[in-house]
Amino acid sequence: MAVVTSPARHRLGIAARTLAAVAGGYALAAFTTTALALALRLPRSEAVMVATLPSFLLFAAAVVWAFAARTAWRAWAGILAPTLAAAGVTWWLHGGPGP
Amino acid sequence: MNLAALLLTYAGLLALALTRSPYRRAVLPREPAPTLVRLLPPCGWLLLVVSACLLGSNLGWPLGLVTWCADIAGGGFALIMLLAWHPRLTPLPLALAAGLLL
Amino acid sequence: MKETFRQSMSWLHTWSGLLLGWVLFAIFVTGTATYFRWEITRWMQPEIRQTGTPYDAARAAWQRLDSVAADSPQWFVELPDGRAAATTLFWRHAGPGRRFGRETLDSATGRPVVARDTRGGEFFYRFHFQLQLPHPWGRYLAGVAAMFMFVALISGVITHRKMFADFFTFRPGRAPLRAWLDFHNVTAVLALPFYFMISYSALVIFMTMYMPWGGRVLAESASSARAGRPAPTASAWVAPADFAPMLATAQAAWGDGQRALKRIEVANRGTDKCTVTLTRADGPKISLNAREQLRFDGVSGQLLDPPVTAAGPGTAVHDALYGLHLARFAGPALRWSFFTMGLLGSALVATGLVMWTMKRRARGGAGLALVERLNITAIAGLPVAIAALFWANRLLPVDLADRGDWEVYGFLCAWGFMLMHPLVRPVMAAWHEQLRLGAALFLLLPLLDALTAGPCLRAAWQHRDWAHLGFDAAMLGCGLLLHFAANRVHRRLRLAATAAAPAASAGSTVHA
Repeated sequence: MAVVTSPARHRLGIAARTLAAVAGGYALAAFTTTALALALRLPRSEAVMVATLPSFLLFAAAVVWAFAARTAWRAWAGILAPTLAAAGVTWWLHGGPGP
Repeated sequence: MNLAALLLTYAGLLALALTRSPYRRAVLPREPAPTLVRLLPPCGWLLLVVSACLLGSNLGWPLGLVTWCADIAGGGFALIMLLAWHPRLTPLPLALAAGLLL
Repeated sequence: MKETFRQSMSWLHTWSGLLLGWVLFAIFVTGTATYFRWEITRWMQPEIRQTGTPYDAARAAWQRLDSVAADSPQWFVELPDGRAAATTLFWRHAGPGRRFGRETLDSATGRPVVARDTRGGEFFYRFHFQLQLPHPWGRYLAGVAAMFMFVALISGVITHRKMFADFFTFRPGRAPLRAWLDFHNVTAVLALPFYFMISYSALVIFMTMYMPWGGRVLAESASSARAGRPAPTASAWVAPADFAPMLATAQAAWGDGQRALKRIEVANRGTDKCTVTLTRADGPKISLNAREQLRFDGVSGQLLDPPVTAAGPGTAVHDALYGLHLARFAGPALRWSFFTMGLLGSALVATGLVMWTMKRRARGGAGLALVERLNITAIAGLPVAIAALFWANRLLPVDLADRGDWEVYGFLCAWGFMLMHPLVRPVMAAWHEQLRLGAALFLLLPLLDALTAGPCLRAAWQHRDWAHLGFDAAMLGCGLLLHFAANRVHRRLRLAATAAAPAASAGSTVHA
């Protein structure tokens, strides 16, 4: 937790981190799952299993990161960047930019 | 056989607890020889490994390890409660088992 | 950064543990009870006694279904197995929609049971993941609670640095907060693998609900292949094959012992795709998919080859986690161990919740007042509510309509009262009174059992029916546990009273 002088900013920081942890963490887990499921090229049920099983671990890691990062900005950046990357991979594998 | 493994787990945990001098003072009538104290940690770990191997060979490794974890929780909880309230009675389960065996 | 990594994890542990701690406690307690789901049902329906083999029960079930569900496309039968005493039938009603019929058969007579209506152990099982909330919100809330628990576990492990050095440390004589922290740590470390397994597997069991996206993107890719499947057409009824030879095959393969026939499923009845699947009782294999099955063609009666399942490592891990959570593989001794670890987990959550208030009692505030009262309702009130469920089971008239629902209303009403009670009483007094009430209700339960179900209890003793007798013994154990907790609170109350009395008299002399 970044300790800032004013309590209002402190609360804002906690709110931002909580949002990053819950919404950002879930988005990261979800997009990683879709990217993995598409990238693995396994039989359907097995691909879903392998892609979804570790997702909750990733979610938890994102939550830990959100509250451990030095500033709320870093917390957001550290979650948003891999989420966007996973979303990009998903979009690419799921049809991509079109023919 | 599974009961034997539980007792081995308990004995191993007791040996590990006795590596710390406050518990030795509470459990044993007098301080044992330093060599004996130095042997406690390897003995404790060995007992735990033996109980895991016993369960693994008896029940198969997946179920054996699950049972081993459960034994550590159950045996450890009994040991900790005894250490907290009746430390002199901690060797009692082992003595009872030895008595039944003989 | 002024705060260290460990401090931020300590903050995360505190709040992730607190926010859904009450829900988590209720999930833990009901889940722990669910390990003895069938035994609880046996106690709550003491009239039913298992007689004969599961094969006799299977024949009776088949006859019954032939008369009540002849035109049904799907049958399910759960047979008695030494833990469950009754036969349970489900069938899907013919026609559109997914509507099911349900009946419980007496395994001796093959007729619907003449026993009190009750949810039995099923109540605890359902409450454990649905929390009496409308579908699907209970499951979502349970999933969020599981995720909170998983995060609390990780952050707790990081916070508690001397995990193995402190393995045996419990000093009940020390300052209260220190002793509570010791106990919290001890319960956490002892069964740590169990907690990680139980919270992660909880998420995995409903992962298609909580994280459905992997399936969604692939389903879209594979939808073209799916579209070719022909829609079921309403054609003439195809008569199913004779059941007796299938049953004989199963009996020859599995015998009459502990691990005999457990489940029958008939799918696609009335079509030429009809199959009959016989499943053997759970063995000591952890994976839920390791069940032994015999599949028959439902029209010709031919034994079919086992389906080829290309189970990869992902599926194997999933099935293992699922199996570990349900612990159906556990024999009586290991089941008691799991039950103990469930109790340790409940204690872990409860001590964490109480410690939150202990640390903040000096400061006071509205948040503290709320948490203190919710703690009482959740921790001391839930046992009272569970005891009320069992009391209702014995006291409600046997022929009451919707009797099973009334038992649950009894549970909910009792819990509601336990929610109101701390509003009008001082905090420590409310703790004491609710714990004392719970202790009394549990300790008197065997007596109530003897008074209201005496013949059943006697029969249980004669037949060495350990489910019924063990349940009464376990209730005494729960009562004693609550009794000791109440005693400790009472000692604190007396100490506070004796400390306050001289201070008050000293104050009055000064003013006089």
